[in-house]
Amino acid sequence: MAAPAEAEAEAQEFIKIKVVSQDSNEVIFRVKPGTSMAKLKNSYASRTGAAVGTLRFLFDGTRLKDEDTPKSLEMEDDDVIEVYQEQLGG
Amino acid sequence: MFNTFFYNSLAKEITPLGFSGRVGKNANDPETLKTNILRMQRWTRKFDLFAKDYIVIPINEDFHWMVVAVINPQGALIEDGNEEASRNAPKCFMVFYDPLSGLDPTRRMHITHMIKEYLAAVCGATKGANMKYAVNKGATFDKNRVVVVRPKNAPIQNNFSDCGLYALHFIEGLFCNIDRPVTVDDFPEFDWKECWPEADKMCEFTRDKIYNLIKKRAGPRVRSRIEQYEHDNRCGLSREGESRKSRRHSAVPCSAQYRTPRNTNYYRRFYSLNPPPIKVVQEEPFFSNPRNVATMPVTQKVRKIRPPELSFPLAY
Repeated sequence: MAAPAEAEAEAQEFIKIKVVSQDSNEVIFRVKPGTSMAKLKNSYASRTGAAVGTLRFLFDGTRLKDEDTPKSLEMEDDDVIEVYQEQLGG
Repeated sequence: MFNTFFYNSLAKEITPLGFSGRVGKNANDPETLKTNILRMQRWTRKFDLFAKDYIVIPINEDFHWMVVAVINPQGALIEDGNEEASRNAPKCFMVFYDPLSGLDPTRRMHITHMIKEYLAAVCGATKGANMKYAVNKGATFDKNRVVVVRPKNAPIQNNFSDCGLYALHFIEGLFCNIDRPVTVDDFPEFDWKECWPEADKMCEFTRDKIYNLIKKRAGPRVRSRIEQYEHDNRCGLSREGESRKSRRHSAVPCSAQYRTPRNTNYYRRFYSLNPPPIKVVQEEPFFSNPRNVATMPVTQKVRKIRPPELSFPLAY
């Protein structure tokens, strides 16, 4: 009886988040609601081989801060984070 | 105030329509635009877009910064039921500011068209009858009630690197004039010179303000690195105008105080031993200064004779 309940709890714990880059490459992360976004940013940057400082992460049109968590942003399953490059202009 | 990525997200996979010769393959592909707008529905789920007085959209395209400010977005809505009243209300104005003079209307039309489409979609999703932010019996978006204007006498950059600065100045200028904030009543005869008489100098001021802000916000390590860099390269705000001479502590140099005055008449020469240096005048290339080009009498004359909209092929 205990095992399925635990599995359910685990399934609820993790949230699937899509990270979509400008050239529409998708990376899917499974995140706990309590983990900070800094961790996600770092792991995405190390995966793509870019420096964290040159990437801009957006969720619903707002920049992600390091101390944000999926809980504070009210993220749900299959939510999309967009990644953009730094913008320059002259 | 929208994010700077708003326009990037809106124009995703739509090739930028820079100058009139370069019309992209899917420059006005309505399908791509529609999917992009659908994807961006979540951006405005927490607030009512049309209840705002201003919508400011900074745009970064082709390494260039521009600003579109939508003033009084309420004015574009037509309420079902009392249509006449809403038709008599003040219109919605879309101010397109391009620090690179914005003479090319194609780009302006392209950008404003996409933003209009977006606003119409948002209106359709939230303002209809019995919808989230519906007023009375709901409202529809009328594109003809959006007037696209360029601010008259707005400052134009005089090199190819300052456009971000001018864009920031424009955003600031809309709100920060204490005597007279910009409102709907100013349009369409809106003159930037009236609002900010010395706009060109204000941009320099903006640069200093940003510099100070960066220094204030930066941590001690970054600040010390900035100072080190400035010390090495003899630049920076605090060292501006500083000469390389060592500081003199009295008005008259010590060595000159006890010297007997020379007979200057005897020593004065009216010819020089060295021939004067040949001055090399480097002519600037024609398009080196956008501000000069925009204020050239020829340009002014041409624009007076016929508006630039007629002289370029239009996409819409």
